[in-house]
Amino acid sequence: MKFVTFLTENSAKQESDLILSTYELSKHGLFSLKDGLKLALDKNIKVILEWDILVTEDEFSLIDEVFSTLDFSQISAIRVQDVGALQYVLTKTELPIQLILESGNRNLIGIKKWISLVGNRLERIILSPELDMNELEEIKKEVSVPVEILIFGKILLFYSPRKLLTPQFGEREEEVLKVQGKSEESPHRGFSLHENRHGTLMYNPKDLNLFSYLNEIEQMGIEYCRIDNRDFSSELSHYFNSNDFEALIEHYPKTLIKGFFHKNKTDVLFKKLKNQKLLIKDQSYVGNIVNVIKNKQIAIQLANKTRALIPGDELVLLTPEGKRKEFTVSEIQNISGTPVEKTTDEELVLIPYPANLSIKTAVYWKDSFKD
Amino acid sequence: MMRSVPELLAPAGSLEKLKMAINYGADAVYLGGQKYGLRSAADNFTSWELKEAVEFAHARSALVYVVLNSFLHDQDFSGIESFIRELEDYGVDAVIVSDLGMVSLISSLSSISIHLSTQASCLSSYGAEFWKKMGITRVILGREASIEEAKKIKEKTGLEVEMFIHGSMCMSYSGHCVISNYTQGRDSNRGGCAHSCRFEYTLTSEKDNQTVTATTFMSSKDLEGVALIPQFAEAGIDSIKVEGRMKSIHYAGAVPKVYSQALKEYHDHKEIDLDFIKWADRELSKISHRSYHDGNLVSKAGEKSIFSERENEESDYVIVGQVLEIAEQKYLAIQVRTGFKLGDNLEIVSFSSRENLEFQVNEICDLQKNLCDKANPGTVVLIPWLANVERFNLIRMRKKA
Repeated sequence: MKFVTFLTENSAKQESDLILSTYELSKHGLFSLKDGLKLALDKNIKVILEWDILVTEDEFSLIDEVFSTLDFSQISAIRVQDVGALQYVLTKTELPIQLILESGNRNLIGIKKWISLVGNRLERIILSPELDMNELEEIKKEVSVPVEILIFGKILLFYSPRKLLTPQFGEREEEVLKVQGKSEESPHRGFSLHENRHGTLMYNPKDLNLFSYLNEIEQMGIEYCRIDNRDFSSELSHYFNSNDFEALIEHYPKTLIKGFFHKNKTDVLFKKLKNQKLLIKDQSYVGNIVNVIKNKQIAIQLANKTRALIPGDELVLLTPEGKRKEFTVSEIQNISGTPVEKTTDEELVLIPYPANLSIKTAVYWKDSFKD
Repeated sequence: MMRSVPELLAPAGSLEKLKMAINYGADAVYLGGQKYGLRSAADNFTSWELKEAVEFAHARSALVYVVLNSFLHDQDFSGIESFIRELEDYGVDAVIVSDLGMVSLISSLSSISIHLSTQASCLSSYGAEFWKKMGITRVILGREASIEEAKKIKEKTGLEVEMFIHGSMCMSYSGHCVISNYTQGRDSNRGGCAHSCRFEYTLTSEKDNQTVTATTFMSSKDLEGVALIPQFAEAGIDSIKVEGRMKSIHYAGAVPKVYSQALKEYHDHKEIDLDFIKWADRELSKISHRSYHDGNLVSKAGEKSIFSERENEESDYVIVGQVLEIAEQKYLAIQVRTGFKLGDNLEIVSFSSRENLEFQVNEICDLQKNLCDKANPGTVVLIPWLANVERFNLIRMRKKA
């Protein structure tokens, strides 16, 4: 297992893969491409060029400019996220490709498909922090391409092409406008916000720390662990470069979390987002009660064109609160008050008041109702 | 099929809203089943409703697209094979997908057309070319692309191109926001978006501690593009899409009406004149919305695209209800959503005519024909019959001061 870090002035770890993160091609660039490549040259190292911004059709002319002056001899590989960028790199360069699958791409079938589509130029895939350890283990068992995950550093929450901070603070000279945000409507404070030439980024108030899981990660066979050192002070860089992870964590200025590595349960609340009692809509569904005149009549808006309602039908009534009542229709009228022997599609019908009911009660034929 | 104007694609958060959208002029609708989509809180469709929806739409020459655009984890695929076969059996016209795993699976299981969801952030001909190789027949471009860029993408790839023209906008690149995942424990890319971008924030500059309080700096104005219909048509855009499966029944009907009238206007006159735009602006202002903006359709969205208010949507009108039944040229049965009383001026939103019917309420009865002074929400009442009113027409009134 190898560590992957970003090229900085403090980069020293010879065994690390170094990513060059630039103003031109990265969401969170540290250097201009020219200065970054010069630094790499000075350090006598090859770098992995990061291209993780998304690019619209017209913006590719800027990419053409960047690539036309690029010294490929200093670049060991390129990592891309945008599918357009992937296609560009496949057709216009011969560089080995590291594919960033951190947004979306949480399933094995898709990941395997990416691997087969990119083919033998794919040298690494970078998987999502949304995947928990069990998912990562299952994926790693099935893919032979080396895998990288983020194990330490900032968690990107939001990426917008719009400049959202300068309207608040005015135009600034610096390449990156850095702001701290908090909301009274969220229990979380200390969102780190950056605005640069590519738009606005928002980071989680707490950073990821999976150093305590290094053994498990190694046992899974994951080849590369990325440490986002782009904001490390020289002190933190020193701790990292000397493998003193305890000191790194101890002196780290932000709270650290394990993210979703242990378990991702971000779908468990979905059932609470709507009334599950109102979800039964099948061939047994007659319609909904739309009007109640207490002790006299209810009105049902019929909704099933495959079956007519007739006097004598036995019905099940399911209230929005989930209470079930049964009822036999003795007579049916249309809204003119005329008796109806057999209803037609989507008719509004009146039947005698069966019980204490409210509107939005769903009505079903008892003989085909399954709850 | 070559069209002289783009297809109008409208949201259908429920069967009721689907019927509303089609009755008001949508050429196609998109909807979600109970799983695999991005709107977990919408009613969505059971299998039985899906079949009903397709039959209703096809009987009116409208198409139905089903969204399967969650970013799925492996366990989320449970039941997908039978669901895909069901969609094919029902005659669904296309599915909308963002995940390569899902694209791959559907291609292997069926011949149903696959549209690439905006969630996949396809923004260039390079990207579109890649997806074309995967069997995608239409790309729904990311909302960061302009009409001019869309035209180039279509010309270079030959793919069908769909663009959003109206509705709420993600401030983030779609699919690239996980705020809800980390702050609310709800996966925004599996249907649990908590709309944290609409919150008020206090911001402090790290450089000089300058502070801005109570700002909705990351909330976007709503997209609105009626005046750009000629550009969409001339660029050869195949489909223009209205966002909003979670929106109200008023929105579900009244927004498609405006855009369907705009497409008709362009089709008939090859332009949309200022009078029409004024009419459309008036109509759209009656429906609950944030301030409108044209997003990135013409040029990059800048400062003016930011909605500087907390969720305080504007509208001049309130939905009163809909016509449930027309009884023997005597009564209209109205399902009441907002109460009204004798003397109120109401407006019935016509399905096919630009002009709506305005009238004053002079009689209200309950379903037992007892005269009433007012109609309460959650009831069905009768009002005297009016000519040219059709079942399921929407009824609204100007908000009272």
